Amino acid sequence: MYQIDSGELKGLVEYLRVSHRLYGPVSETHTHQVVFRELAAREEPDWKAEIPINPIKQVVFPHIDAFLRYRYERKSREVSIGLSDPSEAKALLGVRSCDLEGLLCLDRFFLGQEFVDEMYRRHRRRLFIVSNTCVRPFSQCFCVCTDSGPAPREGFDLNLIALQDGWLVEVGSERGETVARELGWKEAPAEASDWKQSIVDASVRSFDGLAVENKAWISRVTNRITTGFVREGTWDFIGKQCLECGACSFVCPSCSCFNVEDVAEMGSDDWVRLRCWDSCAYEGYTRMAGDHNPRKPVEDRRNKRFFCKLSYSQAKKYLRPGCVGCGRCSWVCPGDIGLPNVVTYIRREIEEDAE
Amino acid sequence: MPVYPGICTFCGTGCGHLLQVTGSTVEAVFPVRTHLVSRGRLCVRGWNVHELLRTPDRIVQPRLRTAQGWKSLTYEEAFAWLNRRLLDLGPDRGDQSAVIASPRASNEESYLTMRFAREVLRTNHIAVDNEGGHLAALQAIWEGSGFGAGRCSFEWIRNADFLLTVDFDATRQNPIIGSELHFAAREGAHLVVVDSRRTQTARLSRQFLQVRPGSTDFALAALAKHLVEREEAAARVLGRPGGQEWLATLGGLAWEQLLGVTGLSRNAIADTADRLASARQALALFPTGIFGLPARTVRWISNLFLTVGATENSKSGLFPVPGINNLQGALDMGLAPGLLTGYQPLEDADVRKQFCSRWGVEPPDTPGFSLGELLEQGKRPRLAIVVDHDEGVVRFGQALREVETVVYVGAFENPFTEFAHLVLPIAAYSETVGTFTNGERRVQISGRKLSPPTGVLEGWRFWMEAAAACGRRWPFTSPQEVMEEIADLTPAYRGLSHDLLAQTWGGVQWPLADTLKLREERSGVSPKPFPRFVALQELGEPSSPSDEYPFLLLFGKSQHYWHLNNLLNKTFLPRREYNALLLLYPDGFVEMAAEDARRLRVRDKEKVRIRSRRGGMELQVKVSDDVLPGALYVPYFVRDMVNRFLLEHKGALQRGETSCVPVTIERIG
Amino acid sequence: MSLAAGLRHEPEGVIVTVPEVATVREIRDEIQDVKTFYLEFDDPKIMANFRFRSGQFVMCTVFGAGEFAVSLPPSPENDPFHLSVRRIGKVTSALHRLEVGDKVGLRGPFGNGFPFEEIKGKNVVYIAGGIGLIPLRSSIVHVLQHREAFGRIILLYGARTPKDLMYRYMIDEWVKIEGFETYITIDQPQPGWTGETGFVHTLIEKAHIPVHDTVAFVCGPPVMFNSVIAELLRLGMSEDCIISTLERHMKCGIGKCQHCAIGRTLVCVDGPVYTYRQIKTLGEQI
Repeated sequence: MYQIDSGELKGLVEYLRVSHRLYGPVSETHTHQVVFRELAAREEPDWKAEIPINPIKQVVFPHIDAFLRYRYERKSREVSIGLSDPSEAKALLGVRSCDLEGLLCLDRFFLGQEFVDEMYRRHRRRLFIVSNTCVRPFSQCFCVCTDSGPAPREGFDLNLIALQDGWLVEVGSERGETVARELGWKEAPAEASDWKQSIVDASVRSFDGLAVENKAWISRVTNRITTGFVREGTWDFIGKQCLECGACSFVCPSCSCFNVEDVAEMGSDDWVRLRCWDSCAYEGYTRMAGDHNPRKPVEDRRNKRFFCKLSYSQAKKYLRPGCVGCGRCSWVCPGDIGLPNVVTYIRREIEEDAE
Repeated sequence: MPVYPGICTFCGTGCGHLLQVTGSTVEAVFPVRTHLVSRGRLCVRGWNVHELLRTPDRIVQPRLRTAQGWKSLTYEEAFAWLNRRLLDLGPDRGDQSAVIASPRASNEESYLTMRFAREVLRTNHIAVDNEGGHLAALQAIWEGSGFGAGRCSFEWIRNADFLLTVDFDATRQNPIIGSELHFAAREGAHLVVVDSRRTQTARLSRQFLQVRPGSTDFALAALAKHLVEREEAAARVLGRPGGQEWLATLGGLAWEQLLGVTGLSRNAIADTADRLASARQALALFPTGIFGLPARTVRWISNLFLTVGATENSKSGLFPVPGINNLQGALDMGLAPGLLTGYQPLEDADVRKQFCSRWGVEPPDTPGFSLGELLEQGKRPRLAIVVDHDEGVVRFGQALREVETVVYVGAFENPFTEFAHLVLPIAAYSETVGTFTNGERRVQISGRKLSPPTGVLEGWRFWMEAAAACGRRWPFTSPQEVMEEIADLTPAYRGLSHDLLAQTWGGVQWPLADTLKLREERSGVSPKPFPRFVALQELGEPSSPSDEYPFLLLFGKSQHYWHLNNLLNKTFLPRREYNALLLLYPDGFVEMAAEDARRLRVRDKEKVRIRSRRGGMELQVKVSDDVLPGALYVPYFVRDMVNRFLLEHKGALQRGETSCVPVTIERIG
Repeated sequence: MSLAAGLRHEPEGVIVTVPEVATVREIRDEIQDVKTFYLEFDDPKIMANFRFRSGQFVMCTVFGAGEFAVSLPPSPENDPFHLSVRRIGKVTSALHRLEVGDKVGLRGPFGNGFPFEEIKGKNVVYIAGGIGLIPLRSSIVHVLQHREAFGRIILLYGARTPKDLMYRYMIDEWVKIEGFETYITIDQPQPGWTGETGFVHTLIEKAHIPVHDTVAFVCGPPVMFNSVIAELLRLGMSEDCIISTLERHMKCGIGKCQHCAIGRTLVCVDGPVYTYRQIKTLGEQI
């Protein structure tokens, strides 16, 4: 572990800026909405900002990705096709633990399973990640319930822990170590790991009592969802409130469903194949051309999504629960659903059954 | 990858969002938690607005229809052609031309369209839709309250303890408003839904008054009648202007008739009415525009609310919710046959003089008609300019072909151009600066985030060059200056400027000035004390079923408006969602109750023939528990329905939302 | 031993992300709205090395329209490479407008495939309805190419009318093959039709299909599928020995977009071939 001051932290940013495109959380000027985006020429990330409205998955899995380009000259019967290559080095700064866990879920999903997803691989390579431990929770956070924070455990190159004055920096990779040495950082004193522990403990303690209490409940709810014993009535209740907007999937750090469409490019003869975020909340998501829709009722779709987030079989895919406790879904849901509420409804059911 | 704040372009809610742009393409959209209205939410359309903004299906070059097909022109050539057409109209060009403006265009563009129509075409045949539904609703509200525009704010919804929605499929039409209703209900508000069909909002309500098709007014009358049966309530009513007539109207209605026609129970009426009476803050929300409530129904609601004094309370009242993003703003900008900006009457000479001081010429003084109304009257103006429209076309298709010159102005390709002789491109809203006014009079600015396609003009420049080509020079060098002129001429918009709006995320509601009371007397009309009970027409018998035609077929409905929408057809996900039903029922569907399907021995997806006194159509059955036995529902978008069946029932269509036709169902084969 | 085991594919030699260009060599009109496209990869190395198993599918790109999933009807051995496609949406309509010489793109092969080695020595019964014959054709031809390795080989195939029978020219050959028991039926009697009449499941008893040491492949519309399954189970056939192929809306074909998910399974990588026992436990309606 290293200990640096804010000047050195700025130095890190400038060091990375030379050879990377920088991304970080910034508060948008007019709306004061924190967003995660590329930083402008002399811009610094806002290390103290709450989690951005958009999950960092956007960098490796863009909202719209024109990943393939082709041109078919019908007369000459000539085809040219090419895959896009977003291979510039990128540095993601100020990544919170929940978002980092989400990224790891996506890594395991896109780079593992039966096929390696080439586009994800292209977006993902050459990422340098500087994560930021949450020294206090924000109002919607519940990472302590989903084992995804407040301190990042893996997946980072460097991890920051804010001190009263200055920062501790953990190294998570060889590249991180190289950077630390090149910047000549001082080793932190032996007690630093105690400092870290007490900071993290204090953070955990400040989570809303409910969030901590829910930790056990999330596990029991996962159990119930996996075994399919959640009452139809509960899914009906939840489904009734769903406005089918897709927001929950879009802001979720581990959601990865997408749609593929070919579309003509304006002003050229090229066509591009787009990947766009999709959502299993939508009725049209599983429909078949000219035939029946296997998953039409909205309750079934709510069932599917939360199954995806909180079931053991999906956890096997991600090597952790699908939900990372960021709380964004409860921010954006017009139906006032959100995963924490779903856990509450199923919890009520479990408690009723126990009586 | 810069990120720009903006306003969604779809419905009249006006949700805030951030658009992430790279070069000339929109890469992503996010909601904004700090937006006063949307508070971090967007609907399926809003979340996928980037799909619309990336479509290649744009109009990028002016084109003229010739015998050999479309011919590309430059703007200069196109405007010169237009000017020649104009000169050819002769001295009474005003009578010979008409403009249908877009309810989607910004305030600045709307104002310039209005100025072009009045100053250059010299016409008052201006409108923003063919039925004037939103305006009629505002007029009806004014008659009862003296407020010239919706005076409610969306944030009142959360604080209200009584919420009445009338034929409003909120979660599909204005989803974030639907969300607000839902949140309010979860927090204890008494959400009452009056509708013939069990919509999602109905499922989320505390009380669903499922009325027989066509009987909405009767349901409102029943609620009011229950209220005035109490002496103190009746006495309060008598103490107001128009109260006596109101009591007489209610007295003349029999309970048997009211309950019989609506199908509601006396208890349900009593319960709802009593809750309304004891509410601290009550709001009535309803849609306006092509699928909105007829003005007649709005008057019933107005009188109902006044009966309990709900319009007096500062946070109670009637809330007309526009379905399109700038319908409110377009009317604010005077896109109506008899109004100038800010609802200032055309017929007021002083107002016309003021406009003359800016324009150099007075607007013509005789109110006109919408293009639709002219065509219905059998008239055929020689020149029609249509800006970004996709409604009503089918209804007037035949007649439109008889208009000598039709000019279409728009950013996106539109099947409407089949009727046009000249097609002119204009920049999309994200490619220019403009302000938009949502349903609560909130004016928000949307900045320029992208460049228009090469050569395509931004709206404000477009209208300036068009005017210049026709001999009228306008002084603007920016959209900002257009707003300055608007603010100068429009008391309601006084104090508004782009600078102010750019600094205020979420915009401001007009009027800014405290001293400007919304409750303004209309000149030329004798002053009326407000609030008042408005005179109502007789409640005619709604269509009723007979032995020969035992079902009531309910038309169209706001829920499915978006299916027809031209912009939505440029997207992937929203189009897929709105089409999802059509994939299951490729021939279109008629919804019927399970009980009726059983009785008729028809199955889901089976094709049946629907026959009325005037015509028929064939559709697939969709068995549903959302409609009452005896009622049928066919959405507006079904081809067969619109093209033939509906045209044969013009009257029903004109009555819009709450109209229905007696029909019978026949099995085929 | 479950027939589902070993039904996975290997990623080697699979065209995963960028479509490979192929030329349309011949187009044959089949039944209403169905055409067969004979294709050849432009790259001769790919053409020579394109290996697939019966029951797998490819993602076919129609340039300027989009991509769709389609099963591979040819046998993996000695059979001209082709696709039989019904015109049903935007992309397949664009495909149907193509001419000989036009280009398409192909990705794949994807999916797990029908068992072949695993069922040698058994009786094989194919039961198909309508265009359900298309995905089964590959297995039928392949098994017939090695018929000595199998027991009785039976085809029960039906459609609404004679005009709706797929691969009529193949059927005409098949009925002549010794040892291939074929029963072809149409729903209602029609003038000029001398074959069987009645729904497909009624053929099961007529054909005296074996139940032990037998594998049944079933493919057809939901109503037909259900009645056939009911009949097979009634006769005592094991759920592990009834095999079908599922169709879902697909976009990526490689297990990432999740459009084809049913419960815990992804049809494009775990399927599209499943035993009936698996289908029952997939957790949702098919």
